[in-house]
Amino acid sequence: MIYSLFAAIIGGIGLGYLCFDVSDKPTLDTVLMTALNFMVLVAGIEIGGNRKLLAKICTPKNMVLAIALPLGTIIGSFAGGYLSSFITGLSTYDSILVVSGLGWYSLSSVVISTMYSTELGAIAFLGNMMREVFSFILIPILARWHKLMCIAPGGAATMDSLLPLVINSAGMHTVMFSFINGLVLSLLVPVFLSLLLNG
Amino acid sequence: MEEIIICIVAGILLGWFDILSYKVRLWLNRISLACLFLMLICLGAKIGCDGNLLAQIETLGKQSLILGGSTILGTMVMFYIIIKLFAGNFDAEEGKE
Repeated sequence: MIYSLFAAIIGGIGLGYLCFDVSDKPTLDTVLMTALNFMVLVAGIEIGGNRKLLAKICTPKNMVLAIALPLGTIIGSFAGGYLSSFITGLSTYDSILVVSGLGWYSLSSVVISTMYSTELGAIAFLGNMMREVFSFILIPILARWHKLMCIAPGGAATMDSLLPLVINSAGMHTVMFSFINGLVLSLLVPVFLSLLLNG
Repeated sequence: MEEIIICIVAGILLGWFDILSYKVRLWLNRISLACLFLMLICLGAKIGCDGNLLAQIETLGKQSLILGGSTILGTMVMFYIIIKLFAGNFDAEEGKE
C-alpha cells in the first residue's frame, strides 16, 4: 500500500510537470477538496459504526488510559515538532502545523496545501507518511518491550492501516486502546488544523 | 475547513445509526480508496507544475524526515511516562485475561 501511495504521488509529479502549469492550481485544489470531503465522510461512517468497541472501554482504569494515550501523542508530537524547528529551519508555526496532522497525511497535506502553502503541504504529506512508514518497522519491536508502547509511533493511523499490525504484535486488549487512540486523534486533527489556520 | 468538520460529523451520524447496508459501505470504502489515489495524484501534480517547488524537493525530504522522526520520539517519551504512571503492569494483566 505504502509503495502504491508513493507511486501515485510520483506519477502526479510527472503529470504535473508534463501537463499542467501554475495557473491550474485552483482547479487541482477543487478536485482535492472534493475528494477529501468524500474520504472524510466515509472515515466518519467507519468511526460511528464502531460504537460496540467503544463501549468495551468503559471501566475507570481503561478510561484514564484511553484519555492519557491520545493526550500523550498530542503533547509528544507537538513537542517533537517544536524542537525539530530548530534543526529544519522551518518556523515554529510551520512545524507545529505539519505535526498537527498527527499521522493523517492525506487530510493534513491537502488542507495545508490548499489553505496555506503547497510547499508545506508537501512536507506535511512526506512527514506524516514517514511517521506511518517508521511505525510499520517500530510496532513489532516496541511491542516486545511494552505492548502499549507499540501504539506510540502511529498517531491517527493506529485506528486503521496500522491496526492489523498492532493485533499481530500486541494482541486484542491493546487493540482497543490503539483504536481509541486513533479515533480521538482523527477527530482532533480537523480541529487543530482549523484552529491553526484560522486562528 | 468547516466542510471537513460537517462531513466527519455527518459520517459519524450515518455510521452510528447504522443507516447504510454493508454492501453500500463496502462500495463507499472502495470509492474512498480511489479518492485517496486521486488526491495524491493531484497533490503530486501541484508540486510537479511548480518549478520552484521541484527545485527544493531534496530539502523538503530532509525536513520531512526530521519532522516525522521527532514526532515519533516525542510521543514515545510521553508514552513512557504514561506507562510508568498508569500501566506499569499492563502486560501482566493482559496475560491473565
